[in-house]
Amino acid sequence: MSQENKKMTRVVQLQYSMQSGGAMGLKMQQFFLQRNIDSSIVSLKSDNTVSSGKIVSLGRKANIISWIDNKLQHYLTKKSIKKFGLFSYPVLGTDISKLEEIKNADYIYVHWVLKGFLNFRNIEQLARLNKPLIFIMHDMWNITGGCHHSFTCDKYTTGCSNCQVFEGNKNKDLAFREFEKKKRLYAKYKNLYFVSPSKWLYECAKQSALTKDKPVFYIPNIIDNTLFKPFDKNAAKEFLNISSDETVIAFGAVSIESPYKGWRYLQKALTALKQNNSNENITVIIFGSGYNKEVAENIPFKVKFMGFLADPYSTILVYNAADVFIVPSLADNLPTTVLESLCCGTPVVGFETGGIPDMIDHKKNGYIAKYKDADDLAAGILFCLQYHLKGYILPSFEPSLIVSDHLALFEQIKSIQS
Amino acid sequence: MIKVVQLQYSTASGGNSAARLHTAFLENGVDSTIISLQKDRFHDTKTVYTGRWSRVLARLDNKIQSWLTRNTYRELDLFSYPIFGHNVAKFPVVQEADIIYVHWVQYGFLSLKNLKQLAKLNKPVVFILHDMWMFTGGCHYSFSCEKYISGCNTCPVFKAPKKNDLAAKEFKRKLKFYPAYHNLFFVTPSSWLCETAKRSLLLKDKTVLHIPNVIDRAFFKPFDKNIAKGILNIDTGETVLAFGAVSITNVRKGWQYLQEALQILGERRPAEKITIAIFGSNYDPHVAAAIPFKTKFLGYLKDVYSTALVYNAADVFILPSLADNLPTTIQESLCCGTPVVGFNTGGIPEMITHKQNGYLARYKDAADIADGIAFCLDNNIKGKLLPQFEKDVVLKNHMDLFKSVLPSK
Repeated sequence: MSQENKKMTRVVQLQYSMQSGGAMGLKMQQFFLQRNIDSSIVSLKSDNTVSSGKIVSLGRKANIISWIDNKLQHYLTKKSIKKFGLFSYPVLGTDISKLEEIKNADYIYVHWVLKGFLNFRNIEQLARLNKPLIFIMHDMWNITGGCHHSFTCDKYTTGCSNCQVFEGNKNKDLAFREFEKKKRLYAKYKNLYFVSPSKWLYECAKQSALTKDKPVFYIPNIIDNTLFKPFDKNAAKEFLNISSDETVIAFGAVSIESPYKGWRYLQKALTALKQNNSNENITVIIFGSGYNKEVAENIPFKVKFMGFLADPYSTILVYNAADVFIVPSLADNLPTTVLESLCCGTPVVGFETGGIPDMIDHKKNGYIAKYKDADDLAAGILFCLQYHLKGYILPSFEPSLIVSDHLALFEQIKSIQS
Repeated sequence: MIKVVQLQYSTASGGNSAARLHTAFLENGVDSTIISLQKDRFHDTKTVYTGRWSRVLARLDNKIQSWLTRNTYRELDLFSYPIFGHNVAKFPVVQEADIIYVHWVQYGFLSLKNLKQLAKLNKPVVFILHDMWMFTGGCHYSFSCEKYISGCNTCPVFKAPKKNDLAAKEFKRKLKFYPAYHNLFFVTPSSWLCETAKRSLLLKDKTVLHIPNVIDRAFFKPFDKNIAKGILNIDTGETVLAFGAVSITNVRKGWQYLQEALQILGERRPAEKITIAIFGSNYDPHVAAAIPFKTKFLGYLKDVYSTALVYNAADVFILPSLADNLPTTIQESLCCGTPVVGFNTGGIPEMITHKQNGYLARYKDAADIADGIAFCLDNNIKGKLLPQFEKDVVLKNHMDLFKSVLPSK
């Protein structure tokens, strides 16, 4: 009977928003609840979201602070070179350490909390509570002086300075100062834990001067494979008004201009595919983008723009309608789209970079192309189509296993702390 | 090519009737442009936004309006009294247009003054009436009140009745405005609203035409019901009843009668496996507790594909509105092959042929709603769009309208 009296474990998850990328806490919540772990969410942005768990969204004041912070950050980093992506330098934020949900929690998960949700002081306020603070790293920001992806730069392994993101040469630049700030924060508290969803980022964190002496773990992101699931491909095509004898190649185009999303390589690969393949019935579907003339003109096949899809059900339809899904990213952590596609039975072709190889078993549930090799990307698409490859998630991504990984993490934290 | 500019509060991701008409126009060789107050993810090079300043002003406008109408009966729905608005007559797309379509322009988008600025351009201005506002002193639905026939005053919307109230003043302003211009035309999506408008003091001498809203069957079409249920994780053995719950507290939407009808149904069919799919709402414990069946809250669906999927998963769609023009949801459901049960009110009977593609329940009779649901289920009724709502027919109506309002060349 003593088992029943055992106190229920309570976790609180901090996340930026309820939308796709910012909503990892939301995705984990339902699985935690199923395993009898009380999970609540504190989110900066509120949204109309279906969840049986508790969600606290911060009010108007926190959102105004965030808005001002973004303006400030934008101004302070105005000299950054845009092609290196986001550089975050949190200025303002909201103290959430006094929230009931935080006070009651045994473990605090810190997901993506930038863009004016939490600043260093706010994180320190949380650290001072002396509860385990688990940072889920959704990119490199936790281990760098401020960039979200360092690309070829490895200064984070020794200490950031003269950052490539900024124009001009300055040793004690913003990246340097931020790196020092993080270093002090991380060194001061013993209750900080870092979790990487990809093996690649795990290795990066192990090498970072900031986290190499900290406990770093590897646990993949969770995906709801009861929501994302395969059904009749022809029915899905028909639903999207695509004839069932069309071969459908899909990709997501949220930021087609970003050099690191690899649009250039994808375009080359599609052109190569056109030359090496006699199949005329190919339709390319692009989600995340409305009609884009430049893109449409540079694809030698029929093109269907799906626009931005907001509901998971519509996304599921598109994955199911696709015969192959391509993620041409040149740098990525563990893109959720890959997992979603695999869950829907659609194989994935991507470059050997970041966490992409974690999810794809080469020539089994997809194809890992040689980095920046457009011809190999084309070969991958063709391979998947010719051999009618089916997508599936690798066993380590089963939600129940991932929840167990988190439970094991709790035990490890207990043993580290005692 | 005829140039039409359409004014609409928000394109709501292409799902509302203005955005749909815009798309249909473009597909059929009409050069249409939308001017919208609210920014939206509806991607289209032919959409113009009025900009940040107008949105700030609109917000202020809404605050003032809600303060001025703070003492109104909420159950009588919206009362709009636009104050600031945005002068869109200056926009080059408006200046270049042959015809101006004015859709839903409340919530601080256009004021009566702005409408006058448009009228002064001396181009045909076609008002698409999405409710009664154009011919009342400010209410969007008058319910049993008929003062719009002779002139609004002592409006029942206000808690403190006053002869020369806001409704009376607004009515007089409209009364001064409309007769002064001969280039104003009025279109109603339902013939119910057309008849009502023709009786109103404001519009009885104006041209009022009935043209239904356009719907795109490319998105809304029947699909394998079991697959649709499967995608939503509903067991194929379940009977699915669906309804939209965007505003469950709004008396006009009739939640009270739906709830009663479901209770009756629960008592009558205790053995049946029934799931109620609710769109437009998150999990709501009060609603869930009031329904004697399993519930599935689908949240606010933003994409046409997911919406079409839910209609397809449903065996019957219920719309318990007590007053409505020509609810788009009914057209959508019928196109997806799902029959609709609703009250015999507003434009609803125009879309439903009783016991053919749905069931028309006696007004405010919850038991008859329950009978209607049972009738559709037991007789395996299929939803069908009636011929006058087909896109070609509706577009033809608009082309005829163009011909009649444009000076012959």
